Amino acid sequence: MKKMNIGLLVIGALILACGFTWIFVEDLMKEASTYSTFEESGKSDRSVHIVGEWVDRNNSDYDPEKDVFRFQMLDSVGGKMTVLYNNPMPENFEAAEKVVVVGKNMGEYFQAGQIVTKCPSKYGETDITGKESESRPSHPAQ
Amino acid sequence: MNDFFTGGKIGELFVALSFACAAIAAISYFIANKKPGGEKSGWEALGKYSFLIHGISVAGIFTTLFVLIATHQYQYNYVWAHSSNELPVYYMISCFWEGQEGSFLLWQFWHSVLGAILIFRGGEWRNIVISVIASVELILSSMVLGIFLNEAVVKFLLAGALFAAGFYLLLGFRQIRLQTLSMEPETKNKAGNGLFQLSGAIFAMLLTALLLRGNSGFGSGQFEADGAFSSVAFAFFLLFGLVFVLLFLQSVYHRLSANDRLRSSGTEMLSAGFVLACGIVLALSETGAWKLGSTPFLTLKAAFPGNAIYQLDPDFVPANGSGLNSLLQNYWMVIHPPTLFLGFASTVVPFAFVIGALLNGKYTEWIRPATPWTIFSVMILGIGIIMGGYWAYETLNFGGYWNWDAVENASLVPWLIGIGSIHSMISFRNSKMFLKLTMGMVIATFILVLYSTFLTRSGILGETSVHTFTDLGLSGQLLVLLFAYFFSVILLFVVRWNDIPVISKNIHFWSKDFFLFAAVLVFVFTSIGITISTSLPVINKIFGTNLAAPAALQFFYFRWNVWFAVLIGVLSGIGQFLYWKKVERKDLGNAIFRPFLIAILLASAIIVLLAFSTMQFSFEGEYRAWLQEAETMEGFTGKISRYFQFGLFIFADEILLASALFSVFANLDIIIQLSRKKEKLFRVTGGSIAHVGFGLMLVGILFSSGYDTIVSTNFSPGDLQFFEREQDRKDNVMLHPMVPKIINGYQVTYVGKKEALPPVSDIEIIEERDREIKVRFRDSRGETYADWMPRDNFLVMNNGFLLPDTGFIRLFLNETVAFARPPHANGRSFYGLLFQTLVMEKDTIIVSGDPFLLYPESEINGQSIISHPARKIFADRDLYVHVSSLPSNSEFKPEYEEMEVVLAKGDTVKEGEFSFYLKDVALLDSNETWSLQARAVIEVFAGDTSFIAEPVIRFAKSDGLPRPGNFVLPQFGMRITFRYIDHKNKVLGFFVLRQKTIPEDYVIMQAIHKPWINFLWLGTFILVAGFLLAIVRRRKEAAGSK
Repeated sequence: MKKMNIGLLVIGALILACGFTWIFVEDLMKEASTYSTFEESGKSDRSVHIVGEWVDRNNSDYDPEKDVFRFQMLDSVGGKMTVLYNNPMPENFEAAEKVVVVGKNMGEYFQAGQIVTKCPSKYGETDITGKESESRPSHPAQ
Repeated sequence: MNDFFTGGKIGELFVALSFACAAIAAISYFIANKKPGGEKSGWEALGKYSFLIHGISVAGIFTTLFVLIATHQYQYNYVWAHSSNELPVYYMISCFWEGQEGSFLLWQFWHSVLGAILIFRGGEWRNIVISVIASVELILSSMVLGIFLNEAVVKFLLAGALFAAGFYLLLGFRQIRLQTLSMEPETKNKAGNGLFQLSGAIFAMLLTALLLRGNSGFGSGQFEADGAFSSVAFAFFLLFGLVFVLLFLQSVYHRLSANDRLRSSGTEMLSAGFVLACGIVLALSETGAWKLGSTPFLTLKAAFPGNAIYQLDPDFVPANGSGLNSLLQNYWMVIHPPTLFLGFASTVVPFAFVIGALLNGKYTEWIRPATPWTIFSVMILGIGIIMGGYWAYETLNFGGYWNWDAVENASLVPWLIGIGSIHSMISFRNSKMFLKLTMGMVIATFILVLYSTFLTRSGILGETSVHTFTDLGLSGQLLVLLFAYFFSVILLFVVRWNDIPVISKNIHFWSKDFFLFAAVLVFVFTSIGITISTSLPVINKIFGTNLAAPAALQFFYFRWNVWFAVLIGVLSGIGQFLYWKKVERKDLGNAIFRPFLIAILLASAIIVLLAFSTMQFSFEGEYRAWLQEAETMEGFTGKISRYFQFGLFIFADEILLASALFSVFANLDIIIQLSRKKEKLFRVTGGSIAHVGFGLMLVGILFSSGYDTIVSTNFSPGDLQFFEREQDRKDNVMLHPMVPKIINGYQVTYVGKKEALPPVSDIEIIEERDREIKVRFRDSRGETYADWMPRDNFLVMNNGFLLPDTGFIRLFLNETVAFARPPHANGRSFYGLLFQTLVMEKDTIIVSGDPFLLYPESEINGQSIISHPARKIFADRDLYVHVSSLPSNSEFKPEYEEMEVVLAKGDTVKEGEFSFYLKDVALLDSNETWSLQARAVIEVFAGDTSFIAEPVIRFAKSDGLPRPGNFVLPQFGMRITFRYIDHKNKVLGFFVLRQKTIPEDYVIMQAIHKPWINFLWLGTFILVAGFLLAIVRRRKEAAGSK
C-alpha cells in the first residue's frame, strides 16, 4: 500500500480546508438571509428577515379553521404590510417591543415562516418602585 | 464609617481581594515556574496561599450575594433585578445565572476549585498551570470589579505597567549578561525577587484602597460604555499585530543566524518591549475614563441615579424585586448552567499544560498528565450541552432540543474541537506524531470558549439570539480577554515552533494514524462551518454587511453536517479495527465484514419499514423543490448539478443511518473481542463505548429530528397528504371543552384546566391589600398554589363558587377546602388533554390502548405568556404536546344567579331554564367524626341535556351542626350545595349558585411525534460512560508515570 509523507498530508489537509471553507462560504452566502424591508423584499424571491412592530392591532385576527394568524406590520423605514403566519399568535406578541419576521414577500401579503419576538428590555422603562409585584419578562440567560 | 459593613461593602471587599490575590498568584507561580531545580521558594508558598485566598474570596462573594438575595435586600441592583419575594429558596441559586456578574462568578468559582485540586495534587507542572489559571481568573475578576477609572487613575495604572515592564526588561538584559558570564543559577534572580515582590504587593494594596474608596465607583453621573472598537482598543490591537510580525521575522532571523544565547531570553525581552510600547501608546493617547467590569454589588440608586423616586425619598428601597425569569425557575436550570460552566472552566487546564510545555520547553511530557483533564473537560462540557438541549425540549415550545442558535453553536464548537484534540492526543501517544496539531487543538478549544463568551456577553448578537445577556458595556474587556490569549499563545507558538520535536514519517492510508488524523480533520471542518455561520453578526460588524441566518436554517445545517456525521460513523468504525487489530489492508475486509453486514441489513430493514409507515423525512419538500428546479432549469450544467444534488441528498439520511449503525456494531464487536482476551482488556474500551454511544445518538437525532411528524392535523390516520405550499399546512387544532376531536393517530379532548385538588394544607396569607389578599397553599397533589383573592368578590372553588364575607378567609383557614381563582398555581394553568390512541385496521378506526391525560402548561407572567409542553414517553417515540393562544379573559367579569331549591325524593322543581329532579338520597356510614352523612342524587336538566350532581351533607359528632357539601356541574357553570335536611317535612334544602356568563374557554394545540428520541438520551448515557472509563484509565496511567 502506498505510503504518504506526513508533511505532505498536512499540506494537503490545509489545501482541503481552504477549498472546503471556500465552497462552504459560497453556499452560506447563497442561503443566508438578509435584513431587509417590505419594499426591498418585493423585488426578489428570497427569504428575508424584516424587523418592525405590530401596528393596527385591531386589524388582526387568527382563523382557527385555516390556522392562520394575520396582522399588520410596520418595518424600520415605514413600510407597512399584512403578514400571514400559519400558527397561532406567537407567545408574548402583545408585549413585544420589536418583532422579526422571516419569510417571503408574496406581493399581496408577506408569508412569514418564523416570527421572533423581542421583549422589552428590563433596563428600559424600569419601574423600580414596584407597583406590581409580578415578574417582568426578560431574556433568559445562558 | 458606620455603614461601612453593609453587605455590599463586604462583597466589594471580597471582589477586590479576589482580584488582587489572582494577580499575586499568577505572578508568583509564574516566577516559581521559572526557578530551576524546583527549590521550595517563597514564591510557591506565596502563590499557593494567594490562590487559595482568592478562592475563598470568590466563595465569599458568592455567599454575600446569596445572603443579600435571600434576605431580599432590594437596595442592591442585582438583587432587585434578578429576584423577588415570591422566589422559592431552592431557585435562588439560579439568580446567579440570570445576570452576567453572577455567571462570571460561577466561572471563577469552578476555576478556583479546579486550581485548588491542582495545587494539592502537586507535580512538576503545577506552578505554570496554576499561573495560567490565575491569569484567566485575574481577567475574570476584572469583569466584576465595577470600578470607574477616571483618566488620572488610568494613567497611574499605565505608569505602573511601565514600571513593571521596564523592570522586566532590565531583568531580561541582566539574564543575558549573566548567562554570557556563566554565573551560578541561584544568584541570578535573587536581586529581582524582593523588589518584584514588593512592587506587586504595593500594586495590590493600592488597587484595593481604590475600590473601597467610594460607592462602587459610579460617582458623578454618566459614564461611557466601552465601545468595542474605540480608538484605544484599535491602537492596542494594531500593536499586537505589529509585534507578531516582528517576532516572526525574529524567529526567521535566528534560524538563519546561530545566535542561540540571545534567543533563550528573547521571549522575555520582546514581551517586555511589547508591553512597554503599548504602555507608551496608551499613555500618550486619549484614554478618557474606563469602566472596568460590572460589580454585582452595585446599589440600585447608583444604577438608576436619575430616577424621580430618589428626589422624593433618598433612602427609597423597593418592597419587591423584578423577579427571576420563570424559565429559570426549573430543576434543569439549576443544574445545567453550573455543569456547562464547569465544562467551559475546565478547558483552561489542558490549555495551561500546553502553555507550560511551550514556556518550559517540555514539549512532549505534558500530554500524559493533561489527557485525563482533557477527557474530563470534554465530557462535562458535553453533558452540559445535552442538559441544555433536554431542558429546551422539556420546557420550551419549539418542539425540539437544538435550534442552531448562535449561543448553542458557540458551546458546541469547543466541544467538537475538544473531541478532536483527544483523538490527536491518542495519535501522539501511539506514534509521537502530530504534536503541533495536538497543541493547536487544545489551544483552540480554550480560545473558542473565550470567543463563545464574547459572543454571548458583548451584545453583538443583539436580536439574533434569544440566549444573550443584556449588554453591560463589557465588550471591550471581552475582546481584550479573547485577543490577549489568542495573540500571546500564537506568539509563544511561533517563537517555539522550531524547538517542538517533529516526527517526519510516512504513513499508510489504511493505518490508525491516518484515520485519527482524518477524524481530527472532520471535527475541524465541521467546526469551521458552524463557526462561520454563527459568526454572521461579527462578519456584519466587521464588513458592514447585512446578513442574517439562512431562513431554512435546519436544512442548511443538515446539508453540511450530515456528511460529517456519515464520515464520523465510518471512520470510528473502521478506525477502531485499525487501532486495535493492527490489521493489514487485506485482512481489514474480513474484520469489518460482520458489523458492516449487520449494519446494512438492519438499515435496510428500517428503511423498508419506514417506506410503509406514514413518516416522512422533514426535508422532502426541499428535495422536491430541487427536482422541480432541475426539470425546469435551462442550462445543462445547472440541470446536471441539480439532479446530482437531488440524487446525493435523497439517500443522505439512509446513508447516515447505515453509517451510524456500522459504527455501533463495529465498536460493539471490538468491545466484545477486547473483553474476551486473557488480559481482560475491558478497561481500555472507553473509546469504543463512547463511539457506540455517539452512534446511537446519531440514530436518535436522525429519527427524532428528521422524521418528526406533526400529528395535530385534521386528518384520519392513514390519510397522508403532502402540502405543496407552506400556507396550506395546518399544524394546530382548536379544541373546545369536552368536545373530542380526531387528529392523526389520536382522539383528543380538552377536559378543562387542572385545579387544586382538596384537601389542601399549608394555607398562608402572604400578602394583603385593601381589596385583595394573596393566599398560598398546597393541594393534595403537592402542588403549590398562590394567588390573589378579592375579598368581596367571588372565589371559584372546584369549578364552583363561594360567597365570602370579609371574615371568610380566616374562617376556612381551619378547614380543608380547595379553591383557586381562576385555577392558577403561581400564575400557572395546566390544560387537561385526554388522549386516546387510534389505529387503522382494515379501513376502520379502532381504539388502542388506555387513554392518558397530558397537562401542557401556560404561565401568565405580567403581560407575557410562557407555555410549556407536556410529553408522553413511549418506547419508540415521544408524543409532544403544547398549547398556544389562549383566550385572554382579563376583562371578564362573571355574573351570577342564585336559587333556593327544596326537594322531596322524586320531586322535580323548575327554576328558570333548569329543572332539578331528586332521584335518590343515600345514607352513608357514620364514623368517629361524623354522626350522619347523606348523599343526594340530583339530575339537573336544561332542555335535552342533563347531568347528575351528588352533593353530600355531613353532621359533626362534636357539635351536631351540619357541614354543607358542594357539587359542581361545570357544564352548567353551576354549584349545588346540600344545605339542610328537614326531617319533619321530609324535604332537603339546596342552594344553587350559577355563573351566568362563562369565560371563553378553548385551547389551540399542537402535537408532534418525535420517533426514537430515546436513542438520543440512551446514547448520551453510554457516551458519558465511555468517557468515564477513559478518564479512569488515563488517570491510572498518568499516576503511574510520576
